[in-house]
Amino acid sequence: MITRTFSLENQISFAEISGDFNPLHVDPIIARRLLYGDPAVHGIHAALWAIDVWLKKNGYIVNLTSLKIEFLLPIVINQPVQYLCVDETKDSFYISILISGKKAVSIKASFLIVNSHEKIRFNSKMVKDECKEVAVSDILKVSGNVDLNVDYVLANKLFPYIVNSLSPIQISELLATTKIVGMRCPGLQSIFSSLALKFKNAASNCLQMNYDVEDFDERFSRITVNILSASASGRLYVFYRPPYKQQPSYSDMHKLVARSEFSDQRALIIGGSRGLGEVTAKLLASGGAEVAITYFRGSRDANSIVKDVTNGGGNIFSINYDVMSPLEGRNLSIENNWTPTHLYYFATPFIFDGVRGEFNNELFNKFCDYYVTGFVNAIDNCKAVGSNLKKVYYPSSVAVDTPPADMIEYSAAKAAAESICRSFNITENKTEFIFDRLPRLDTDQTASVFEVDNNDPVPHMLRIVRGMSN
Amino acid sequence: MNLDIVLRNIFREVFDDDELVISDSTSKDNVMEWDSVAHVKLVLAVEDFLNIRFSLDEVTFISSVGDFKESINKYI
Repeated sequence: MITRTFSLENQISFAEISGDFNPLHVDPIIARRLLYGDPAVHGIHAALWAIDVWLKKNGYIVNLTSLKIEFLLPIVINQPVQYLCVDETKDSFYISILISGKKAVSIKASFLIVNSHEKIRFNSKMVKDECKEVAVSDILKVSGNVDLNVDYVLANKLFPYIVNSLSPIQISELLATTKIVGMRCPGLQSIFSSLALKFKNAASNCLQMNYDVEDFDERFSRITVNILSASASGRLYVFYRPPYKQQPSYSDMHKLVARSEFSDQRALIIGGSRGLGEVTAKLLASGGAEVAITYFRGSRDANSIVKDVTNGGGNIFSINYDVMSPLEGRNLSIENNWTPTHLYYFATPFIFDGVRGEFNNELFNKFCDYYVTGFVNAIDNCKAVGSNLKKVYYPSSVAVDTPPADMIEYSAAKAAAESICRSFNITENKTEFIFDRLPRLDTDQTASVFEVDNNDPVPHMLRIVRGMSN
Repeated sequence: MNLDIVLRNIFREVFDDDELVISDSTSKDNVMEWDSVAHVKLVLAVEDFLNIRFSLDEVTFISSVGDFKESINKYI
């Protein structure tokens, strides 16, 4: 079986050839807060790779007559994928890209075998446009066009058999579809779901693809985009992607707590640059606590929180800290001999990585690295800087009670962390370890294309920080 | 039109399983792959084939093949 991974470098090359620079695909820092926790491979990038593999094996020079592609599962960078030819005839193929045996991309095409293709000299050089953000209320008014283009040098590196076997105009049209979705319609907040195109032989003197929105299905936030160019016509189907979750500001939190309610706490918040850690940090600082938040990759987010809280009169600073690095040589580096009295531990990887009904040992180990080993190391590091921790908070999950079918590994690792807390409550007589099973709270991690019931994290975290002060 | 066959074919297509056998009791609870994404695909495929459009309440209500048939029968 033919396998590969897509690197971030591959992704940037594809962005350069297609013009689709949507941060979901090329910016690891922003993408970590979006739906998949890591940059997602452009669907068209993956599909063109699979078509390239098929063309290599068959050696045909073809004109596509129809093409249907469905993007069924997200592929993230460095994730192994497999190519599978499901079926083929003398004038069609059905190929798939699999992730751990599950179909991630489905590609069905019909074609005509031809002798050669006319080489096209494209007029435009691909420029990096602004990634537009179209509001839902405006989506039905959106229309426009993009230039068709192929950078042959780059295409030869990415898809050598496609360059030799597929008509340049069709290559440019497929590349244009991802630019339309990712940069224009709806642009920033898009998830490319599928496309259905028909092709005809046509003069290649008009090197543009026109697009307009045909329908917006509010039930699923699904957009149907018509496209038309000299040789291609059809529809693109796109979902609105939810924006990353912005938690309430420090001034919002300020209204909820008394000024010195948490002044007994010098709180270290591991994983404080977003989500529950961010909410906890703002609540504690609002109540007069001295707060240190750690971040790993999210320095931009951490700086933004520090600025928000400091401008509001709160006492907070940030520290870069990797819960996954070896213990030796990575003790918490805190200036001015600041030592925490309270520890909150929110470090987590992307949590929705499981497959329904299957247990993945590697994924379980990854969760344990964060939820168990990283947790224990954080406590050891606090001791190493001379901290006498009074209380430690660990966020468990209702998933321990009723594990969702696609979160077996997550649930098991959270249960293991609970056991650690129980054990430490016996052996560590100066520190109280508190954990509780939180419901699904509204954070980046729980954002979904489709409507789900997420709870407001603020009341839950307020209850917890109050419990830590008692 | 035999609705059972229509639904069977749509379920086989969405779940990519040519051997899939369904009945009225086939539901989210007993089909592991019937997650939120699959649900949207099922709804859209049924709507597209029958040229109907379910209300949001119906989309939320449907959780089995029997539910699909009950909702479809309001439109055809």
